[in-house]
Amino acid sequence: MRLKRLSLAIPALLVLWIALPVRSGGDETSGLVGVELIVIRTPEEAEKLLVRLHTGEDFATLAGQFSIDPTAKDGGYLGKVDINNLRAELRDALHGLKPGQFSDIVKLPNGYAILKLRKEPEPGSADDADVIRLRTALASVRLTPDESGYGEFYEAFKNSLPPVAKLRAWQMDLKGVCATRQQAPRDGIQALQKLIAKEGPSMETMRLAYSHYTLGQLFSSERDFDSSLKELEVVYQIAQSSSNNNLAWHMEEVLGIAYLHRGSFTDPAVDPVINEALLFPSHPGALKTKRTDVEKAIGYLSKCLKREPSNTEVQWLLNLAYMTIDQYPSLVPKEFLIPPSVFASKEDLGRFLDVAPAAGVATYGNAGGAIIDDFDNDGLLDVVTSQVDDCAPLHFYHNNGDGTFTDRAREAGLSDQTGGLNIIQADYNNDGCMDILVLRGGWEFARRNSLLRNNCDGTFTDVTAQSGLLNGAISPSQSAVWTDIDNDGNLDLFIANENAPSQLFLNQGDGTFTEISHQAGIDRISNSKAVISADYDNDGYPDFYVSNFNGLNFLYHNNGDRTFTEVARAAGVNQPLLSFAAWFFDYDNDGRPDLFVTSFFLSVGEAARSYMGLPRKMETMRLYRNLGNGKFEDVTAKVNLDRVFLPMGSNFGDIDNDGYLDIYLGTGNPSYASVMPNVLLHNQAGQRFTDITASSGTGAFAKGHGVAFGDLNNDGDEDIFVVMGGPQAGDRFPSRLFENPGKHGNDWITLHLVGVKSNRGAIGARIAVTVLNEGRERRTIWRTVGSGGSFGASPLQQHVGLGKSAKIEKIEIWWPTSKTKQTFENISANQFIEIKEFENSVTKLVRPTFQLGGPARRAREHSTTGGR
Amino acid sequence: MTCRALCFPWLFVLLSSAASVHEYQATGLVLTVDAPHRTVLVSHDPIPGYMDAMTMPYRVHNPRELDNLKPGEKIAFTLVVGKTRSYITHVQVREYNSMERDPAQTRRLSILDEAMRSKSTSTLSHGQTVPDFSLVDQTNHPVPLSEFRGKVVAITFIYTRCPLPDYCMRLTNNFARLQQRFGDRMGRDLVLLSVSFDPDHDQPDVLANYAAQWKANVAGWHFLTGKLSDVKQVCGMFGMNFWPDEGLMTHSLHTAVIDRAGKLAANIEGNQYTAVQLGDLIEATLK
Repeated sequence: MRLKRLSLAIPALLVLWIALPVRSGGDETSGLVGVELIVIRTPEEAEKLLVRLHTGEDFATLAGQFSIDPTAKDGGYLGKVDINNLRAELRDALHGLKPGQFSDIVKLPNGYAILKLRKEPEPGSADDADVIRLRTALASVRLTPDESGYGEFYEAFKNSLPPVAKLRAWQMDLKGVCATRQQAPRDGIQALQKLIAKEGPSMETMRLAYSHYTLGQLFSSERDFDSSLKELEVVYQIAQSSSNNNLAWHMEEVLGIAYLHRGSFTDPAVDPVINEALLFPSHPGALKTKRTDVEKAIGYLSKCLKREPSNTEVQWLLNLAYMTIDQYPSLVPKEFLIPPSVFASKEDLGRFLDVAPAAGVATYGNAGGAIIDDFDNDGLLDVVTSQVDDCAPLHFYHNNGDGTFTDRAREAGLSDQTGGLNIIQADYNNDGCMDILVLRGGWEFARRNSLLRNNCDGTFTDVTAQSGLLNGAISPSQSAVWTDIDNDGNLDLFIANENAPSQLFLNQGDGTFTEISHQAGIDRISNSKAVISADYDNDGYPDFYVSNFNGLNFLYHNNGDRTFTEVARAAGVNQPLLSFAAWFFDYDNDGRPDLFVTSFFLSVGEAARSYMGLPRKMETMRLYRNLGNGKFEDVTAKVNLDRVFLPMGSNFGDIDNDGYLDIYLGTGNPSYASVMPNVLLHNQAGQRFTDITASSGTGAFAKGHGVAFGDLNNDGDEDIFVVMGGPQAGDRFPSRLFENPGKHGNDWITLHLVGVKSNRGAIGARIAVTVLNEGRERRTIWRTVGSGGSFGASPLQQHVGLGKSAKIEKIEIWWPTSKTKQTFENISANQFIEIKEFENSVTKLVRPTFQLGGPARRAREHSTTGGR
Repeated sequence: MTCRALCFPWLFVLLSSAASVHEYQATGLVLTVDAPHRTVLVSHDPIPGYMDAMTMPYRVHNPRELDNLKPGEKIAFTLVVGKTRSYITHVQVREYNSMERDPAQTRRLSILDEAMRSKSTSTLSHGQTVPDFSLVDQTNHPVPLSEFRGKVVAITFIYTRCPLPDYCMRLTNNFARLQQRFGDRMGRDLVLLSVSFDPDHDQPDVLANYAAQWKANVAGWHFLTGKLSDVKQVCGMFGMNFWPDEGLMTHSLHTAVIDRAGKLAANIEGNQYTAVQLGDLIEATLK
């Protein structure tokens, strides 16, 4: 059925678009409008329909009944298109139409069309998620099949949970959780093997095929790829011998993905010094691919693609397969080639090198969180990582100050802290040492979080229970934010939960918390994936934004009395519908926190289409510009962010010290098919974002989770750390540490703020640095102290890029609790300084500078005589 | 479209004008099976080069072809049109065999659950009396199935947060079309039930909203929710499975028709039939 539809779709697309719409750099007029369409074979029929439309009949209903275009099944909805990219006849027909109006009859090569300009609701008038859902209805978006077994793994895990009466005890017991996570898929495998052995011979064919398929999936999830492929091949054979074409064709795609995964993306041979494998564009020879696997993959994928040439997901995978054997683009069949030009960066800020192996932070593991911060106050940024795998402990990478890191998790008392999809830091007890919060259960189901108090002696103590954080419900969470909601100098904690009420914990200042979720009015239930904070309306009280996957987002305005009012719709920020990571940042340096929210939809095909410049059929991430009156403007298209990337963990930082914050997006989803490069977007003076993935060498393949920016070697530029890997054993990858090449020649300053009356870590303090660039251009660069985005935590010290030949005229700090402002003049650029609340002068911090990678890298550079 | 009922005379005219024997491949939805008369009533898809989609009774060549054939099944068959008579042969039931993400995953997870929990599914079969159940509707009133005895009941399963047009939206859209087609018979002869399998989210007020969006005539179309265990039980009767999955639901697709006597008349899996065919099936059940 679908094949038929797709084969129809190709000519239709060819007919509708004259050329691939390629966005020009400075285009400010990207007007996307919703277009509906009816195509009819004869002019007479078209005439009749036009009459019926004029008598008030519903366009969508008529389209559904009569249109010969594949959009008929979606009531004729073509999607949001840029009129300028349509062929001339259509463009002319739409010209001058008001929303809600339809055109005259337009002759097309394949028939006669009537178009309608969809009437979009007034901004802010749609408060109904279901209405928006219908409108964003993902017309013919191809969902990426879950070819990783994660669905089966998750189901086996769920089937192995203890009975309700014992559930809470289990949720509290991290060792027990680990044991269940390990045992469950094994039990699933055994149960299926038993089922096949017992009933196999008498099973109906489809059922037998699916039993093998399910078993193959579980093996795949468990990293037993050989057994998995055996099972999947059995399914393929059954499908072929029973002439079940649907299943056979599907299995060709599945086998293509499975062989590609085993051949290229498992056990990558990672160089012990610099990891150039699994990078996009692929580095010739860097990937030790199992070539026969990849050749098989190419065979299967080619079959699929010949049958279904419009399947951009498979097209992407085929191109990817050739990349992994260094034959892209030369040997990719012309008709399936995605040309390198679509990935080419329009800008080159130098190539980042992944020095994680040499630095000792290339943990080979699963999805998880990352924090960069200084946990022992030695002036060196450390790295802490977590993994969703409930058996994997936290890693606590202590910065040795020589370019290497040592995992001190055991010594620090952190090796019992297993699992956690995300982690964040804050000095919640104002003792001058950074504490850690571990969030568990994200995308899965509840187990407890951990609050780990830094004892200021290199060790941590789990104080979750005594702090009162476990007094209420235990809910699955992967996002939380620390901020002082009532300006009493103590950091409060907002935890966003999945399909359970959000929680707000008021810090009592004595190491304990009181839950005030309901009184505060923030206990809405949604599938919340992010919570972030900023005082967006500059009234002196921090507000919250909660992003929800498959629901509208919430903007909780702080009323100043420990209560909040939800105002997302009025502020114009309640979408996207499938939201994930988010943050506040001032992307255009106008002094107001803007809002960035990603959209996470499981379609590799759509991401590939986005690269290829094909019209998109789904929502994109959003950038909302703060207008300063409590409202935001959607500037996504204006700044070229209206693209589809499947972002997960992501964060921001200023990679070229130009004073404008750049974006790094970790991408993917659990499917082994969702292997897209991570993305680095350069902010060009607050005007637009330019994709510099290829030129920067930061396009790590596979699943990008926790992302943090930080100057790990104190050389004046921010490096990027990324936790890589999917959620289960079959999808493990080494973490990445991309060293900033620092080739921009711009100035910088790093500010370490210490609160006295305000919270000691200075979260919420605002910074304005006014500089004169090259002796002529005066501007102010704005920052707010915080750990950045919702998935990955950057240091609280604020690294501020200052641009070319910058003279700092003044640095201003606003402190949230004392409501005081400090102004400092005559500060030189390119240094680390500490600023304490109420003090009249700043303290220069002396920090050693070194190359990341330490002895191993030096030896490598020495042996290659003169270095690279 | 013009001939929605028995079209023998028309067929006869058409057949007598045919020069020789012709064979056509066709597909359609089984509406009723009449074994004594060796006929099956089919709402068939367009037969290229022969006729539009319509409802037709067909005689089978071999009466055994009707064995095990049930209303609501999608079939493929060969229509043989001769000079004086026509019949169908090579009748094959088309299982719902979509390989899209959700249906494929639904099948795999069902098998896994079955293997791990060694639970046998006790889905109702055709002709069985549907046990009474009670859920609450969008106005928060309890709605027992038994209330509708004497009427035909069509029941489908949705969740309001479903973002995929081919799944819940398609099924709900089918019901919206039925509502149009059956007009004032809605509530009197025919009752539509949309059961949410996301009851935690789909509380009555949410369903009321959803009903309004679809312009549901609430006299005959009820949107039901309830305790998760109750919903699960109802879903189980019709072989309806669902799993929470990363904020969405992975679920199977079922639409069932219960006859006036409260017996299961049909249980259609999937979405590969038209609202017209579903309406034809109900029409046949109403008789």
